[in-house]
Amino acid sequence: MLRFARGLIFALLMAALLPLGTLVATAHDGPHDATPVPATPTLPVTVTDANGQQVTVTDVSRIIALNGATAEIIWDLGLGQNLAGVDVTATYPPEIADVPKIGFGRQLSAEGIISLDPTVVIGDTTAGPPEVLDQIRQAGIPVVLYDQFTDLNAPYEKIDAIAAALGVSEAGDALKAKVQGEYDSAIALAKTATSHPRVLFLYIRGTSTLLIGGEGSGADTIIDAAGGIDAGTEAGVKGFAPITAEALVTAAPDVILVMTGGLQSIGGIDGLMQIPGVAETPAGQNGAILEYEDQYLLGLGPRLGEMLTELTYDLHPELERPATPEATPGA
Amino acid sequence: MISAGALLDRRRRATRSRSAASTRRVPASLLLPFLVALLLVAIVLAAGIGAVRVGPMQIMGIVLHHLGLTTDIAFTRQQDAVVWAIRIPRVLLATMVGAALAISGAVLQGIFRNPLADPSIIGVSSGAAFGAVSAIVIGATPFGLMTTPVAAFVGGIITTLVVWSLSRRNGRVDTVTLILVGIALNSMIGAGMGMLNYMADDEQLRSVVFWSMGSLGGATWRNDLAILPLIALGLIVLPRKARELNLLVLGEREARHLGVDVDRTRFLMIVVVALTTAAAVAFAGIIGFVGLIVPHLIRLVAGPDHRVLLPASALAGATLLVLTDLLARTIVSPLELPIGIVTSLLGAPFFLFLLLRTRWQHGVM
Amino acid sequence: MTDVHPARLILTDVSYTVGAATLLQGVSLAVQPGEVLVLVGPNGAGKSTLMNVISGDLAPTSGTVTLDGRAIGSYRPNELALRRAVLPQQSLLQFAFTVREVVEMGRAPHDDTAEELRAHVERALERTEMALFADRVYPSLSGGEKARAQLGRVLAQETPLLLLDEPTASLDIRHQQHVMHLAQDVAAEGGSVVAVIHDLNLAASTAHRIALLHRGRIVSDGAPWVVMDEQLLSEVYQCPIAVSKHPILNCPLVLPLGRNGSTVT
Repeated sequence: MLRFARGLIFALLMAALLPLGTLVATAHDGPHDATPVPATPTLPVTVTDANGQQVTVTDVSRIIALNGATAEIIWDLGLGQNLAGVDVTATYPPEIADVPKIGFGRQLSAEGIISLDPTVVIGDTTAGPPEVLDQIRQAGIPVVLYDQFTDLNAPYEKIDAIAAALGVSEAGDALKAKVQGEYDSAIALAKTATSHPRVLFLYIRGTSTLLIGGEGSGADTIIDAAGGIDAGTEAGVKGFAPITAEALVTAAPDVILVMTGGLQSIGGIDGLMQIPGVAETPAGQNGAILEYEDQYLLGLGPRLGEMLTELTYDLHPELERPATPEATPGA
Repeated sequence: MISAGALLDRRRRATRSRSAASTRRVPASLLLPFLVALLLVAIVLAAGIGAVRVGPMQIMGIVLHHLGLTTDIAFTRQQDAVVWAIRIPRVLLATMVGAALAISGAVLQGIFRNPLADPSIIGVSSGAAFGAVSAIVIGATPFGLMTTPVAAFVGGIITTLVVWSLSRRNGRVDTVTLILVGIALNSMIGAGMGMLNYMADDEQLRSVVFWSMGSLGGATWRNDLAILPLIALGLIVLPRKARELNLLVLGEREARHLGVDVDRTRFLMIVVVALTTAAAVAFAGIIGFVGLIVPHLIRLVAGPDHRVLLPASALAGATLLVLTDLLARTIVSPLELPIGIVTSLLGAPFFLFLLLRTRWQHGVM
Repeated sequence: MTDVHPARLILTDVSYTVGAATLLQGVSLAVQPGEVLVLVGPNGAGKSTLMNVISGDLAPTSGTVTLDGRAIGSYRPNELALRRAVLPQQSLLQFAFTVREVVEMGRAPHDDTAEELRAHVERALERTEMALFADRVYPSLSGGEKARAQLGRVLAQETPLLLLDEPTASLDIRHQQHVMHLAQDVAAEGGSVVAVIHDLNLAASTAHRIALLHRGRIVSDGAPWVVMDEQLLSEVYQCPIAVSKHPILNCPLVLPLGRNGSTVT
């Protein structure tokens, strides 16, 4: 009986997650660029992937992306029309919503992927299971896996790996330059800020997973870069620690930062305020709750610079936002 | 107005008169060949259907090609990979796992004289789950790709041994004690898994969830051959104990009086069941209800004689899993439903029906 | 000096203690071929424990149990199964075996051909008047019918020693008599039967020998006339009992006297 209940809940969860991508709209998820110019790849190309294997790519007309960041970068490189399949975490840009979904990147189906007739499959080393990837290779389809990059240089490294594998290194360089530019201006902007608000990152997954992010959470470097102080790290939290009322009051954040998916899973702002201790923090009392879409905040993808700029403005009300339509969050 | 009590009485009497009629059973000479044929049909169907289109001629060509015979049937490299490297190992895995789970369920229902027993009762499923989850969360891979399956296997075996030893007293194991110790240990392991889930990060959690929902997607020739010896062990050894199982069902003391070495026979059967089930679970994850439901179905059709029940359950379990997996990987293609979900969705309502039916037949349980 | 008929079953000074409780003390008993021995005694006297020791399920804490000249503990389970059969008090069988299949199980220790199996099973079904029930499923039977099916199984086992633990508990008067007559038949064929019976008159009218247990000891052992002594019975059962002669059969008639020697009203 218990097994059945669990099974049913997870089935429902999975069914629920599929359309979740399209519900992202209300939160911060970045301004909306026009469709990038289609790129012309230089093929064939041989790369050494993260497993040390030499992989030769001869055709990029049908690409399968094994995670959201990969899909996004492929789009930005101008190869978005070639996407033949993406994993369920690929929620940006909205244009790729119609691309067939291949399931979760860690639990792929060999035959399902092969049936989409891909010419290249690309993702990072978290993709699996390994047997499935082998089976895809056995069908003659090149599979390129790049390393998991986790610091603020990640966007460039990912762009490099993907652009190289798809033979569009020039477009890759251009994209990197764009991202670097956005990043640099974000950092410069943050330096002009005079306030240094204490920001607490809360990692939430339903009512059973309520965690404070501290040193090494991934959000700490972002908060730092945006000119804030990571309250979790300051409170001595390493990685993640369970939320307690005491910890919240001691951390006394001026701003609370959460991800959209997590916030929705506990019933929105109202639900968040009901967690003991939240309402008592300066952030809670002033309603200073920031909600950023999951991929946008922590995806370490091409929108890193954009996101940091937006976050910097959000954290520092003393800075004046430029009055351009692009700056307003997507509806 | 009829009172509930009167209604229950009426139903009870009706059931008694129904079962008072002499039993109508399908004889083994008909049932077993039928099940074999059914399994073969299922295997052929499953090998032929999938997300990628491969015609029956090409399938034959591919199989013959790999068996060393050249034909002039053309097939693409893709089709070859799909049929030989993906579908056939997968169908074979489904066959082995389905047979293993079903025969183990039938044996345990006999040993515990309880129609509601299944392999999880001796702790092997939860132990395997704990082993696998530990491997996923801890993240070390001393055995490379085989780490999780090995951990699952070891976890399942160790848990069964612990349950067994805790239930021993003066060299004898009492059935009720075994069940209670199994329940207690399952709870403890559940708590342990809760801790591991708490420690896990997002990605690990996803892996854990998928493992516990079961999947035949990791089927490769190498993995299949790895578990074949243990599955074969179960399928060969267990049916030979059918006669002793019949006597055990009569009662432990009665079986002893009729010459069965109860302790040794039970120990042997539980060990073999543990090995077979742990091997099945190691690569397929947790697939529920097969071990519970299939023996019941066979009993309804062919009676409780284990000499028929065990082989028939194995065949039917294999067929069921092959067909269920076919459904799981085609119904939302290119996605795949985790097979444990499908068997639970199909099995749970049926289990409920069986449970209530047993109540009606015996009055209050 | 050897007996012409060596005793089949010999208990010598058997005691059984568990924890602080002594359930059997200094029990000595011999069971000959061709006799029906009935164990009687009040609740808690040790009858079941004694049956368990006789069947080999319990090892005595002291004393010896010998079956066919060998210590009972020295037999392997299947050897023992060919020498003694046990009819338990209750049966736990929940699965839908037919009566025929249940009786067939009694032949398990033997190596029968299909023909032999059928013959033995048919005979057992007839003797227990269960032939008409042969294809009925066990769980659908009444308590008495189940008891007879189990008896059929035990008879089919065809062992020299037959142990019956309260075989008449759920049977009507006709079937009670029937079972005891079967026991006498078995004895007449050279077998030995040890049965626990609560009904003193049934014991008195059908047993060759009776052993009366009281607080773990055998306080009387012999022919019914010897054991059914008024004073002894009253003392052991702690209620007034008179013993008279059965008006028709040549056996004692045991008469409980109610309170103060008067009738119920």
